[in-house]
Amino acid sequence: MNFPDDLKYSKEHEWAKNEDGHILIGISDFAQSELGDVVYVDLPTAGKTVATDEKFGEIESVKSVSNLYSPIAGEIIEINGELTDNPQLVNESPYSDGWMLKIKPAADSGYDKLLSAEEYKKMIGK
Amino acid sequence: MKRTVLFDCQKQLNAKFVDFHGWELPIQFSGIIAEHNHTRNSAGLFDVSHMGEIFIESLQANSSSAEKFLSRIITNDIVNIPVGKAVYTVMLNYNAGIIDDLIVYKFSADKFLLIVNASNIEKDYAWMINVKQKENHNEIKISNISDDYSLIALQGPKSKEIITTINNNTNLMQLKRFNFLEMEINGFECIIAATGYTGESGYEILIKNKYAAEIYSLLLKNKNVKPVALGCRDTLRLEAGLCLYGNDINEETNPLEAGLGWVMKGSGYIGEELINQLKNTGIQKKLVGIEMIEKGICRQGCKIIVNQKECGYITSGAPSPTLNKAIGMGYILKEFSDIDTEIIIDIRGTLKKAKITSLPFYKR
Repeated sequence: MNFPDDLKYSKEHEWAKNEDGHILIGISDFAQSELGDVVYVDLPTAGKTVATDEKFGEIESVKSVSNLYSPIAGEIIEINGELTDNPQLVNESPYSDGWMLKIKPAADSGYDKLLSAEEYKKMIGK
Repeated sequence: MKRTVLFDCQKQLNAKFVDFHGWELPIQFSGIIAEHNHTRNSAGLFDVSHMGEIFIESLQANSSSAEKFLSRIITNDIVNIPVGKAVYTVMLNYNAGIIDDLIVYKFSADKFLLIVNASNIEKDYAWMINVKQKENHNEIKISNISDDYSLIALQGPKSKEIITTINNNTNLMQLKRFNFLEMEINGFECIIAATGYTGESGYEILIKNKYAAEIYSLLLKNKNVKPVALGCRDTLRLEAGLCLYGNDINEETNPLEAGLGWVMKGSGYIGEELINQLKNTGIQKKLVGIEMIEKGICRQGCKIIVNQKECGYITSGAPSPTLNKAIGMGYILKEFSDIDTEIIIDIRGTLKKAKITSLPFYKR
């Protein structure tokens, strides 16, 4: 299982990546592996604002439905529309093609409080 | 939690386990969709040893006492079927609610084997003992042998080719659907039936616990066989339009509503009078197939809405790997149950369009 060092992680198993001031959000390799085959991802529309730990959508595997929580606060400026028709990208490429949201972080977004790869690995016992 | 004797084998095969009615059972090995497709295209090997096995036997040979008792507790005809045949049936309570759905194997008019749902073993056994005592069926013996036997299901279009590489017995090669044989596989006594719960051809092998691991491993040596688990068992049976006890049928539903009128061929069974009454008065709700039109997956418990009014509920729902769309089954008021009726499914507060379809969704 892979947990890139340049990402930050939340206790709810999302990752956040700083890309030129915008933050990309997705779920961790551990989360996709626990879920199994992802068959549906329900994402909000761009323009919506989210608070830290607020539910922003749902992810469904064959057997289960799980909530998605935003690891940071800010305005959603883009969503990954590819996931509508290809939800399995979350399994195949959780840190790249399987990204979910692009957020313009709020002043106090909570990004700095997120876990490092080491801390996250420790939390999930990997 | 209870485990089947194949737990260690499955752990080595990287199974992911879940709690299923108090049993620690694999939900998947390589992945639910991959296992589903492998079963449809080749052959999947299930461990369904958690299911219950109950023997009903006459104490006196040639008395047909077992048959008389069974005719009372199950709805399908087991009198006019030949020895060596198995039938799907339901067992009803006095209100014609479904206590369980099961498969009955006829060894003779004096010996039957019942394969029942894992979650219902104790309830079924208690019901049978209760009827036996209340109605003075003193000349039969009911034995719950669930803890002594394992049940392994090989399912998929390549099942026959695979089973005959292990045993090329002519009778086995000619075994027709819903027939069974008592025979040896690899030197181990077993009962092998051409039955299953996937919509594919295949076999269910009932074998003593101590031989189960060896047969399981032997079958897995064939390159066309993959271990498959509960996750795809559910999607396979749903595509095949087969009811799951606890989801689609229970003690509050009757077999006519559930589309199981075809298993009511017996006579003199508990619940028969009510069933006959219902046949005259008609049923209020009906189990139907549902296909999502808009994106979203209907799941058990979602409400069905027509003309802004709640008129039913989903009992089973999942993405269908074969059809590549979300499907489900549910009860709906009979007046809205026509094929192609457009309905709305309330998926956790979001309303999504769907339509009524015929069952099964998939047929080989």
